[in-house]
Amino acid sequence: MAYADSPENAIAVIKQRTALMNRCLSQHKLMESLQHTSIMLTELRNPNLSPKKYYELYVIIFDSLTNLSTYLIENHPQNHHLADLYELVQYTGNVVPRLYLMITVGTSYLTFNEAPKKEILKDMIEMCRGVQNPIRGLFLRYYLSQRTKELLPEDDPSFNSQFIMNNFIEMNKLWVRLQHQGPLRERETRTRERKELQILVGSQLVRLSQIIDDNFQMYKQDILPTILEQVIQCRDLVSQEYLLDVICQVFADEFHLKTLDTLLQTTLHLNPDVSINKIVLTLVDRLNDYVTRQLEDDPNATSTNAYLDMDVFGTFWDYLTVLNHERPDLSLQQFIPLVESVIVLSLKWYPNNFDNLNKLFELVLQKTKDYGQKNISLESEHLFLVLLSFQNSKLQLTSSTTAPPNSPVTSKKHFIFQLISQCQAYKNILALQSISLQKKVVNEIIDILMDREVEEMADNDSESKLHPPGHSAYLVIEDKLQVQRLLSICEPLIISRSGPPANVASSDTNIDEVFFNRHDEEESWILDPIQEKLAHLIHWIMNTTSRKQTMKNKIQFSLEAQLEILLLIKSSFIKGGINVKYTFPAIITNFWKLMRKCRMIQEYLLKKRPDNKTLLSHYSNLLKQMFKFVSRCINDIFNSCNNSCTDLILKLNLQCAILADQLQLNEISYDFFSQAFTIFEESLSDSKTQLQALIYIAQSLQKTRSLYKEAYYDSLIVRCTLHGSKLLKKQDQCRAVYLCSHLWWATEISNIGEEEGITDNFYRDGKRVLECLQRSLRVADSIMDNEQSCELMVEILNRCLYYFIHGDESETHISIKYINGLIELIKTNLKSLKLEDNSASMITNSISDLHITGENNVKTSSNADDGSVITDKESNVAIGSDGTYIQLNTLNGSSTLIHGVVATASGSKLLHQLKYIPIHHFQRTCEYIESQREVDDRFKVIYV
Amino acid sequence: MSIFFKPPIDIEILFDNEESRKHVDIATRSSNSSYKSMKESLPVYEDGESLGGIVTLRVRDSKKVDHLGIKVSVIGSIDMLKSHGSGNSSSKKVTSSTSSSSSNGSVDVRKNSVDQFLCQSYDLCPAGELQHSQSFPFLFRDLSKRYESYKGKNVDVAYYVKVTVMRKSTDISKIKRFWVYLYNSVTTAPNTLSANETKATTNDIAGGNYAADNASDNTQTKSTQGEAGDVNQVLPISRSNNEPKPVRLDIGIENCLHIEFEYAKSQYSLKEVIVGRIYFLLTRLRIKHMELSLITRESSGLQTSNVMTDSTAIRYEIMDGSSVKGETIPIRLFLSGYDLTPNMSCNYFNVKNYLSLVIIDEDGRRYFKQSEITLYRTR
Amino acid sequence: MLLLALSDAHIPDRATDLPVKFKKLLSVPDKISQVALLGNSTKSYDFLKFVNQISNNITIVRGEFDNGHLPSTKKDKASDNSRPMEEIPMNSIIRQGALKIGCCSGYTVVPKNDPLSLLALARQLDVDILLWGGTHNVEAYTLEGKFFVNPGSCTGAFNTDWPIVFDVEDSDEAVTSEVDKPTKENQSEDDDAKGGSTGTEQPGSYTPKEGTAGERENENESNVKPENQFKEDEVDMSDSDINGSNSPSFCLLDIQGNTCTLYIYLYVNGEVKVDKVVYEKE
Repeated sequence: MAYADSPENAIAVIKQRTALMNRCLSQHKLMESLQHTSIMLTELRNPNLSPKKYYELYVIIFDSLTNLSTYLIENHPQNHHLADLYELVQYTGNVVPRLYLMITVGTSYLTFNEAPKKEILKDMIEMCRGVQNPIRGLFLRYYLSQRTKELLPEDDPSFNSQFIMNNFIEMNKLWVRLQHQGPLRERETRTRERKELQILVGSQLVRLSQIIDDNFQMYKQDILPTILEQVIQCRDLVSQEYLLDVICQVFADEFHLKTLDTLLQTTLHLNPDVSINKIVLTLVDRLNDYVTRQLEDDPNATSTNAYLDMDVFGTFWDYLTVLNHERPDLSLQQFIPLVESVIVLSLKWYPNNFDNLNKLFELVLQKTKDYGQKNISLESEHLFLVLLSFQNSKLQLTSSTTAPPNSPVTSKKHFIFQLISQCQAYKNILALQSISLQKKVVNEIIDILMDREVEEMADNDSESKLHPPGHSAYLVIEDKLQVQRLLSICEPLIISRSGPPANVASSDTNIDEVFFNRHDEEESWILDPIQEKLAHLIHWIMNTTSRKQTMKNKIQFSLEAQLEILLLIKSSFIKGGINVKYTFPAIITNFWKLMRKCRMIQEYLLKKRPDNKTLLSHYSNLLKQMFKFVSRCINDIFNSCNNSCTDLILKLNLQCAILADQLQLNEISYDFFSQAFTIFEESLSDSKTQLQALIYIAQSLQKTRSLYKEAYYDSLIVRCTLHGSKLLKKQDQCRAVYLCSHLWWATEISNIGEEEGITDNFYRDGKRVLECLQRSLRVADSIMDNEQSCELMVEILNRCLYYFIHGDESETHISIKYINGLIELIKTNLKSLKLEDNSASMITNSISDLHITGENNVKTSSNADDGSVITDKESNVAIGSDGTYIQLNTLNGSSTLIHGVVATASGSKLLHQLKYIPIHHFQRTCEYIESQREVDDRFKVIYV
Repeated sequence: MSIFFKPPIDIEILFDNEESRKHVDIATRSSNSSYKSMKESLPVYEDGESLGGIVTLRVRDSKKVDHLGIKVSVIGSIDMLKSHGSGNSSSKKVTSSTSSSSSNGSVDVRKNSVDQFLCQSYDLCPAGELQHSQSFPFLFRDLSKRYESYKGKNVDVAYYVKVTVMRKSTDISKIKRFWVYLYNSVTTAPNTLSANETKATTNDIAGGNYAADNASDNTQTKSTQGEAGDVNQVLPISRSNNEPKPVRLDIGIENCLHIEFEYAKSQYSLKEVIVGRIYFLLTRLRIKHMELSLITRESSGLQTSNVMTDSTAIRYEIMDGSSVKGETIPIRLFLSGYDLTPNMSCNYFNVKNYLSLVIIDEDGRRYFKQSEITLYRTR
Repeated sequence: MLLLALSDAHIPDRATDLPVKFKKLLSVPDKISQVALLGNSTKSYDFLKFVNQISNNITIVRGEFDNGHLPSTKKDKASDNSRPMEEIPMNSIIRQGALKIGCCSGYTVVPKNDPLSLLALARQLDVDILLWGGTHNVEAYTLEGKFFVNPGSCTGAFNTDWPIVFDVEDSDEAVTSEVDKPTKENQSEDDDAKGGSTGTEQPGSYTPKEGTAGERENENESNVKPENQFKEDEVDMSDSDINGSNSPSFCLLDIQGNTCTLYIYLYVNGEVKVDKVVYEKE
């Protein structure tokens, strides 16, 4: 009999025949009705249907046959006998329609108790062999399975399971066979079609699982071995992957637990292309579900429950060992995910057992070595990245800290920290990787460890008591060894070179997306995110170890222990070579912090146990030692970086000197200052840097208090001033010297209780102050550049006013006479400045009227060239504290520096403005003097 | 013709209890193809059964009819197609062939009787005059019937009762056909063929003999086998052992297909079920499907001019798609639902049955393998 | 117009990052039109990136731990190879509305943090508002009609200035304050106090110990020397004391015409406090 030429027509035929069939049934014309049914079923013979279309037809036909079946059942045995019909339908000439009819009639008959159930079932399943076409056969057997679902004999589970298994086996065979049909080029189509059909086969296993229920004996002895044998025998990739997955999914997880060996063994005999790891992962998932369920049933069961008696990990471990042995062909791509699955398992079952993990990592290590570490491809690099930085989503590690106590769900950072500190193999695997990968991994790990946001959130939470006491969101570092391990893991980053950037760029686009100028000049600085991260790590370790621990984790590091850890860090980071310039400042900062702590302890002891000399001297020694360490650190930077960061070194020395001074360690302070001077003298070459460094030295010295003894202070400030007077540029000399004048004029430091007018032992020497100012003025006067000279004089005038305000003439030696003289000098010079520029501009007026009268002296300087209007008071150029010109950019409101010779057209205009700088500065100073007259009578005698 | 010369007497033959007897439907083979589908229902008798009935003569229009006597006879004959006229040229002319009066007793006009193996008659009534309608009972006691009725392509075995009113002018006669079944009383069938058949046909399929097997209908093949006339025994009752031995055939095409099939036995009653299986030892052939056919072969004529005609009585799909090595396909064919002819044999013709396994591959080529089975009728 | 003043981040040398709450406050794009970095804020890539997201109009002045030149991105470099490295100036001036704002890091002001010196600088630069840094302590005052603002350290980084805490705390006061505070710290101190009576460290003969707390406890018990009973955690050392008593802070200047409204953001005990000061130019 023919079938329709298109699926659409087929559906039409089926619907039409269904209608006819139903009409005949209503008229009790069974034979005619069967005839229609048979024609309808002919559509299922169509070999040109895709599995999807076939399924559509099948569904419609299934419903029609259900109608027929209902009729058959209702009219038995009054109008017919089903046993007769069972024979009758077998006259159908075509095998497919015949079998559908047989099954329909047969299953209808099965609803009656009188029917010889087992015989019918056996007969039907036997006859189904007549359909050997995979698609048609699969659907036919699926039909058998659907129809018999509720009708299997209730009292014989063994028969039933055999029946279903038989069907399953045949279906699987058909399914596998489908792969090999048709031309070779359609293989992929076949595979796709097979995947569409897989559910038909899988449904049989689902049926089995329903039949078995909790009959483990049957499962273990009959069912599982049969199924697995089938799976192994079919040697088909798709089938093996799918079926094992289904087996893992549909049967009870307890069963899996008890048949773990068998299941795992099976995977050893599969098609080599089967991705075992998927199967193992599914299995692991199921086993983990089991644990979850057990815990839900009884949250305290972790340690007592029976399931823990089983050495689940051991089983997996043995399996992995055997697998590794028997399948040396397994690639890393296959092997690593497998190990990862077992890691997932181990974490769930034995959350605190890091030995397991160590074993696993060792295995990977071995495998990697066998595989040849040189052959690690890019793909497997990714695998290692996932493995080593624990990015596998199946790992039940949360970044959240809200996990309940005792929960096997471990916080990722806790976990990784434990892992690093306990698993040697982990480190070894890491060491096998390419440098770029190592860096990536370590980078990930550090990010996880220092997930600061979480910590800060936890901080806030702990206030609202969301956390049970004792469950800290913080990591707890328990001992030095842990720090050591952590640092050794970080080594790839520590020793990594930031440049040349292109090198890093190719592998680390994530980190190094932006690059920075790299100049080997003295003050060059390349931003290096990796080193920055390491600096953060240093802070993190030190914060973690110094943090007050909670009750539960009663581990408190003593100051000395912290110091040891810091030294450990230092000795690790020194390997970074030139990188120390990024990391050592952080280490030094932590030394400084420890110093302050030490000092606090000392203060406390002095207060509480002033007589305990042993303790006091212990801490005082400690303190001195720390300064030595810091000095060492600074030297290390110096030695590692050649001359590239002398400015940094100088300043670190100064900071140390300041701290030492504050701690009344005058000798140490003096040494650091001396060190700073040495560097200044020997290594600082850039004049700009020299000036600002010298000013900084002066500022630092000015705040010291402990150096007065032994005349340390005296020698230092003289040295400082001397250096100032020897600077390269005269204007720098001038500024340095007038600023050094402050070194002889100590001012109050309110933090230590000093107060102007009350404290009487300030270090002050007015004569020296005046000397400095005079010297500075001489230099200013000698400068050829009139504008510069004038400006410096105005600055010195301001300095004079400072001292004038600060003290009596008798102390400061800055007299009215001196100030008035200076003002006169400035005025004269400004006049000459005016004359010098007479021809070019028409500002003569403004200069001649330079005395401050308080009247509105906004004057226009009409520039003949471009007619632009510049108001006297609104100059766009200013001079900075180091003598650089600053132009106020009107565009975005901020300023830019003017460098060297101004050559551009707009520059000539600027050049023109420069002379206004001292003029306006002088004006402002004069205004200030006038305003001060109201509060200080002495100002009235200053003539402006 | 009959319109103008209506016979003055209507003859009606009724068998005893005819209505309640078992009947068979026999397709009438008319020369006019449009009537092909007409069927004729005939009462069934068996060997040794008495045949009796009543003959009623009705006088038309109450006219008196003179006759020379009324005779009833029962006749069994083997008829053969004229064109294949047998060597027996002296066959008697069947008188009934000219009789045009019968409405339902027609005999295939194309066939001539070659052997009248049964002819009994006696007079119902001496010569006289029929004035009104009159009935005469008749009875042939314990009538022996040698052959089973058969209606084949070239050969028929026909039985009928004939009543003749003899007159001076043309006789008026009427025939009534009936059907004869010969039952085999032995429950187990003989197994004469399987042994040598197996040997002879093992490699029949081999050699890629995919000659079109549309021999199923109307194809006549000359056979070199001379079988006709050897066996005078219609009933294929075996004289050998009673045990049904399974038929096993091992067939194949070298390096392409190798199957083994097996039937439970080689002799079947018409009510039986053929059960068997096919085992695949090797399949490289892409099989589309596989059928089982039952072919009835009629061969007629004497040795030199044997005519064989095959007709496919059953076509039954037993496998859909292509099987693979190691698979077994079940065979189950109910015979009772079909109108089959049991094996028979006589001097003039014989009927044999064959089971044919037909494999159709995906390119439409057919491979087949026949094996003879014996069918017999049981009660 | 909003101007953000940040100073002394000291990332990564002394601090790791701004408080998260600060970052959230500042992560509002297109609100703040200019950022002034007042020193010691140029060594962190992440920090600069963050600042750049706030506004790309950034004014930087040099702090003592900044380098002479700005780090620049590779793209800039590629597009203009000849451009000299941008120098970080000591001082910078911003004009907003009727106001001129000077920026300077405090380290070239001698004496450090001295108002009169700062005033002289403001005069020299001819500015109405002077932003300065370097002290890590937030400050704002008006002097001689000029407005002086120090935004403090945005990270609360360690500071080498003279700390305030060096007066030794009164023991009685310490006791009462401990009783008043029902915090976690308190609990741990109680616990530690107990531990302190039974077994304590002996700093004089201290050797580095590894292993769990329990082991150490046992070890200590065998070495009790009553006269040396001392545990470091008796000393109340807060992070802020160690770092120099500074809390993270920054300033936001809202400038309208000749008025500047200053908002001071201070991060204390995990909370952000905001103060407001208004300055109007005469």
